[in-house]
Amino acid sequence: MKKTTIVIAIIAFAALFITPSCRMKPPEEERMLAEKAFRDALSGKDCARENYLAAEELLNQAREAVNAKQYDKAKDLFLAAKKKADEIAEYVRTHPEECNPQAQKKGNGDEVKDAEFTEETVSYDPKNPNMRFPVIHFDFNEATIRDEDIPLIKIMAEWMTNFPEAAIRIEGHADERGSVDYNLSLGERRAQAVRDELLKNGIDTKRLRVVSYGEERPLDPRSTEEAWAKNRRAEFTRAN
Amino acid sequence: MAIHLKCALTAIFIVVFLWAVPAAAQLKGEVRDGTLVAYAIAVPAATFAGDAKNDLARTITEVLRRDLAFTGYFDVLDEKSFVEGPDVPAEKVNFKNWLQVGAKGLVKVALSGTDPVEMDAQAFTVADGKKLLHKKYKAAPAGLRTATHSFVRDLVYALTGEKLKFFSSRIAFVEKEGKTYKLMVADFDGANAKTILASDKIITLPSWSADGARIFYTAYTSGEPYLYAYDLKAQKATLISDHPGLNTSASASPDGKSIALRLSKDGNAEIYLMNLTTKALTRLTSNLAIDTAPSFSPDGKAIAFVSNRSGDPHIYRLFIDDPGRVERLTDQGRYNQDPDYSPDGRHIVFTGRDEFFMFDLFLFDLQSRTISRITQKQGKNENPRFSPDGKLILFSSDRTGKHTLWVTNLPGDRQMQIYNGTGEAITPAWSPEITLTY
Repeated sequence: MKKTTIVIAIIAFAALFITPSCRMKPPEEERMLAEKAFRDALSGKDCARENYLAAEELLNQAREAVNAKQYDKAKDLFLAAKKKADEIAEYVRTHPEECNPQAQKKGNGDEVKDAEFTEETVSYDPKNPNMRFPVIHFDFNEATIRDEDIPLIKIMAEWMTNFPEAAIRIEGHADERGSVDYNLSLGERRAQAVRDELLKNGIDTKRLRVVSYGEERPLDPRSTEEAWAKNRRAEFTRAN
Repeated sequence: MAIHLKCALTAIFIVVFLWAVPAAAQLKGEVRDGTLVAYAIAVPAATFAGDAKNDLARTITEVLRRDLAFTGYFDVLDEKSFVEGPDVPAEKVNFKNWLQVGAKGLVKVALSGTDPVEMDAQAFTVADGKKLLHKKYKAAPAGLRTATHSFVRDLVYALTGEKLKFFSSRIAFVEKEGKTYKLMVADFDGANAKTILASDKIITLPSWSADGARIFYTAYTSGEPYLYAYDLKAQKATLISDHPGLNTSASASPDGKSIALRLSKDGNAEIYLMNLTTKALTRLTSNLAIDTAPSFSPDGKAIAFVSNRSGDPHIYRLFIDDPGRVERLTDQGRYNQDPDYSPDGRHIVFTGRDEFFMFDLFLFDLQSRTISRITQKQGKNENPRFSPDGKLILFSSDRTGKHTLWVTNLPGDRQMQIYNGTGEAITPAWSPEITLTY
């Protein structure tokens, strides 16, 4: 009987911790839009530095507002961050020579290293047997190939056509968020999506192998939006 | 590396059951202002030949206090308030001294001898000075920890009639250190951690066989994620599943005859049932979405799992004898993963991402269909696994800046760190009850 009292007390205590989900919700849509816009503005990090830092700051403030449950404020800040990020993207689009670090590539060693870190700046030569393979990136919890990455897969298909003896492993990766278990499947689906795109480009399925590493092999170990975006990827490696 | 279910030491273990009053004095908890006030217990330092500063005595005191806290039933009083010294022998205790500090119960432990060490452990109710439990143990120094665990288990039994199974269980987990993956096994409280396997290839997602003799895990030893079983007694790994794609996430059926696992051999992650003797497969899910992370119900009839068939990952349940019937359990949140069925079949614990994008543990009550929250925004909390009696939940958390292992009670108001190693400790799994000798 007294044991029952304890059980009731535990349940009562647990009830205190049930989070009421019917409260006002944080602005998730706005957050996603802002984060997507910010990702798209990444290439303006240097050429539109001031705006880039401003967008980053707005995004951080918005997140703080969410944590403080100031949802109205957070919504406005996310929208402002998105607007700023859109401006950067527009600037990048209209100033390709300034924002494309390839032009600066022939500077000192450091600059070359920087350029190598940003995938978009690498030029691919499918006739080169030692071509550096492109990396395909994905959105959070997504395994759909982004429109801008389709040309990268076409380059890969071209390379595989030029070197018909080559077999390729497609390695799928996830960022650190979410469970180890689920991320193995997410990584696999990303690699499979890339494989399917190569098949569409006429590559023989026998030359392609898919393997998922889940969240085990991040390119960037930090816990930031930027690192996560880098880590959600599919990579090509020679299998023979 | 050597790992034994039985302690390597050739210690003799003798229990002299002198005095026990099963359920004579019920463990009394009071509710004040909506909060449970636990049974106040005083644990003066154990002594070794009368000396409380002895190293072994100190270790035993620590284990004793920690074990009592683990049960969730006790409020272990701070020794700073004690008015009676630890050197007063059990038969000369003045119970008024303990009544005065607010203790309801008192535990006195005296050690003597070298190898084996004799441990004399007694528990009293302070109000009437009655002996609740009196046990004597003889064990090698290294075996005394386990002897202490069984004393606390028996004390809880004497007070409540409840047999806590976690005191005779172990945990398995993966520890990542640089590029090295280690498959680890430790006592339930994180002590005696030992490396079972170490590799520069990925080792992931360990789980226990139904009898606790083997650990299933996935390793990329061959370059592919294949499922293996490590036999703890034979210290040998055998290949269990090497289909193309992922071979992971084994959950042992309660009868030990089969495992549920995730395979992607047909191109998409699905849950299969594998007969461990014949290796014959039965496909349990059929969906274009990801289906993974199976967890058997204790009656072996249902399996909780994760699917993103609705777009986002959520917790579902399938029924082995009713193919095609799938029940969605969670509809709150947008990122629910890692389900684990409670041993009484009442709850499913899982990792969920809340409205602030924090990963926390949640409890789904299958009777009331409600969700309660266990952890509260202290870092990323993941991979929850029930203790074999369902009293506690083991999980991995990065709240201290790196991944360490924690144990919590179901309400979440008692969380204890149990393992903080040199690397990142992830994907823990709690064994069933094992017979531990020492």
